[in-house]
Amino acid sequence: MPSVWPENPRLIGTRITRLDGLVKATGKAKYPSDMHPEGMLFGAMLYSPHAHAKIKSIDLAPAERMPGVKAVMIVGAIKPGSTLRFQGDDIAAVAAETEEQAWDAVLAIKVEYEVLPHVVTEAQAVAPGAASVFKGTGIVNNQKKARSQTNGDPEKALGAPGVVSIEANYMAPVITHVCLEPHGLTVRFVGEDKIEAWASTQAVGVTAGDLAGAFGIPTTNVTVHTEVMGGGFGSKFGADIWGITAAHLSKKAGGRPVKMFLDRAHEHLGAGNRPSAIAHVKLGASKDGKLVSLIAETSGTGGAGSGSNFPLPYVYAVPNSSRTHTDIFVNGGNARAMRAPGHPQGCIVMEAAMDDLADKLGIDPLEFRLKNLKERDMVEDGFSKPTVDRTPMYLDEVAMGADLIGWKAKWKPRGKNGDGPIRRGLGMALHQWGGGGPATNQVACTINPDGSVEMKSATQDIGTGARTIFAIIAAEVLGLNVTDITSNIGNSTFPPGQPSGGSTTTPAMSPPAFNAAILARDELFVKVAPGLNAKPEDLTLADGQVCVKGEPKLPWKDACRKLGQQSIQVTGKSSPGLASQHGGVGGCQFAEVSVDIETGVVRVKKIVAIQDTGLIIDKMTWETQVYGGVIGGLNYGLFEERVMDPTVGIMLNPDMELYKLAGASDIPEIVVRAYETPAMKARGVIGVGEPPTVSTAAAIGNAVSNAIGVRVPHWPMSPKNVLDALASKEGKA
Amino acid sequence: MSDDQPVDLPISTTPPESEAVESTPSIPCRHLRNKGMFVYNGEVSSSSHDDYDNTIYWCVKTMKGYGPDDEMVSRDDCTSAERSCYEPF
Repeated sequence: MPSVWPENPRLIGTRITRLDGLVKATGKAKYPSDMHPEGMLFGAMLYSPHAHAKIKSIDLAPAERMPGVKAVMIVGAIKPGSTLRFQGDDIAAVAAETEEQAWDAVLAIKVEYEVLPHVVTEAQAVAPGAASVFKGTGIVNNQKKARSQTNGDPEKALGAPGVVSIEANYMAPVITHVCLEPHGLTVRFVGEDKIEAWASTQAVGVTAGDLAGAFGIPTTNVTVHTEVMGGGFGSKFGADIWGITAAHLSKKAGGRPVKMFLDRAHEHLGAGNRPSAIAHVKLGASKDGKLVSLIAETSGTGGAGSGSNFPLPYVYAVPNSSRTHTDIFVNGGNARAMRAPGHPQGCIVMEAAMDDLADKLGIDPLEFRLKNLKERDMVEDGFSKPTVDRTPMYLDEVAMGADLIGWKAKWKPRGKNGDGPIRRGLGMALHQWGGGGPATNQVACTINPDGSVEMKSATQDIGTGARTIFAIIAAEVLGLNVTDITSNIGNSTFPPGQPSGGSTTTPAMSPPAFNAAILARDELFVKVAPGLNAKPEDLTLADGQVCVKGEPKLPWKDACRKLGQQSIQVTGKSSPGLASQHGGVGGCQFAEVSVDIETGVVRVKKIVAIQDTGLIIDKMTWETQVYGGVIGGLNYGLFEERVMDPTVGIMLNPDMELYKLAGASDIPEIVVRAYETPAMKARGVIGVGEPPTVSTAAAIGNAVSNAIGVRVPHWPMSPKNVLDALASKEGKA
Repeated sequence: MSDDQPVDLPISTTPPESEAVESTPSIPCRHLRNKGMFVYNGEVSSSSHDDYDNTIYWCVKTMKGYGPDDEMVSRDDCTSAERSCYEPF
């Protein structure tokens, strides 16, 4: 019989402080980049200063002669004749006694380059005669078409009598990953065929596999530790070339540990980015506000690699639509998954077009959205059956959000928000995501004779609180306090755990954790029941006591002492119904902004975020994920942009000064509400890491347009883009 | 924007003689990777969409979007035994 979550939980769904919150907040937590094993060497990478170049020769000898240098090597498959495809492309590496010696040695490596013509912007890449980034199937002039999508007859529908339409262009730039802890690891080769690493990764198992594969050794010979990590957001999914290089350096240096973490510039250049989005959109609706047609030609660049496509149409029902998308390749760092890949771009494009069309129709954009939800948008329950209708959820969520932002009282049509230099506006956007988790992971639960309890799995905490989630679940089942449970994660040799991607960690790991605790509890019951003159099925656990038919009879620790010298050790697997396999969540966000039309400066005053996500294990952790998602979306909406110099081919802002992110004073009031209903809880656990970051930038863009009376078509809502849009309105652009 | 002409796009993307490539059923190179292989254990991605594919591929030999032979890494590109770096499972 499959296990089911408790109907009236004591802990699950309440607000519980993270078990590791204090050590993180006080700086006591040891991050991988804090590790300093005895004998450690410092690694540094030489990377391409050019956007596009061929290596004519590499001379490592000067570096090898530098003081303190213990190992020098060329990276990966690089050799004379190799092509470097972006500024930041890896070339060689050094390990030395001190960080300064390592960097001095990097500077001593002599590389002769043949600098090649480059393309670093989308416009450069598609210009006639542009330099080619690379060859590949279907690539013509640095472009590769995706499969086109057509539903119905969009051209005919758009031209039908009575249809009101807009035609517009929207653009969102490439933004780069900016994890506070850079990418990297400290690694040591042990003997001939073993590796131990402390990696900042969101996938300890994948990282172990990468290291093992690179050296042709069994994965069981590799141990990867990630006790805590300083952000990943999708970009830290394996050993990476610098991690494998560091392991080679360690081997060359006789097994001395090598610390290899990227510097901030290298992070921006080579550690991943969210692709740009460029869209030419025609959207039409009947005069009463029912969408009839969408025609979209889109493109984007993920650098020297794939991945710029995004969902469109998004959220809304459009009976006739056509879509073409083109991947554009440039001499820039590769895209990597970034928190809800593709969805923020699709949301910006769709929601901007929705607002622009609502304005032309003269309809409240909130009402326009509600008119165009799908009639029935079915998503799965915990048994992977499409039994939940998302459409009424959206209706409820929008009503909640509208009330919290004060839509009815404050919203005015575009351009009707005052005559002074400071204009206020409201905007909104809807989003969706997956967030389910596969049923292939394991959690070990140990109950020791001294009463201590350990939960253990080879997952890691990317920020979604895995350690605390395990403890809450075990404490719920065992009738203990959360702090009575020790959660050990972040070790690749533990039972197989979920890599953190796609908002899958909590839904993938909660079911095996729950089942492990139940198995351990039941085994304990079998052991202690005879001493209580009871049957195991008569026993329960509550408030630190073993109860017989509901009556407390034996304190937890006394019960555990009856185990003698042997611990209970069990391993739990997933079972149906506890978590959604494929997810399917949604939400909406509202933004209130003020815009100085003389300076173009936008201030976000308030964000309201409404989110559904199934059964919530820890309300506090859940809320902090939504706060974080909103802040990430605010950065996308207001600040972030990779700026490339088309002439010399380099990134102009690869740092944390000119690559803008929100500071404390930029963070507005953020109101977070969970959409929790019995039907939602019945879906089981669904992840929330990604969905709340999807619609923030779109909502902010719509609020700015509402405030100033004209669409700002280019994200972010920077002073330049705002002033350009205002100038365009006055015919001055 | 509603009453205005759309702002100019910086680019016009219509590659000549380029056709969308349908995904091929051939066996991919054993060094081809994407995140879904690990996160969804071969199942359909929970974030996937019937009508678009934004999968980011990399080669485990280079850890980049291009292979040791300097050509692009993708499900379409990494199925050819003619490629010098191709290794079947």
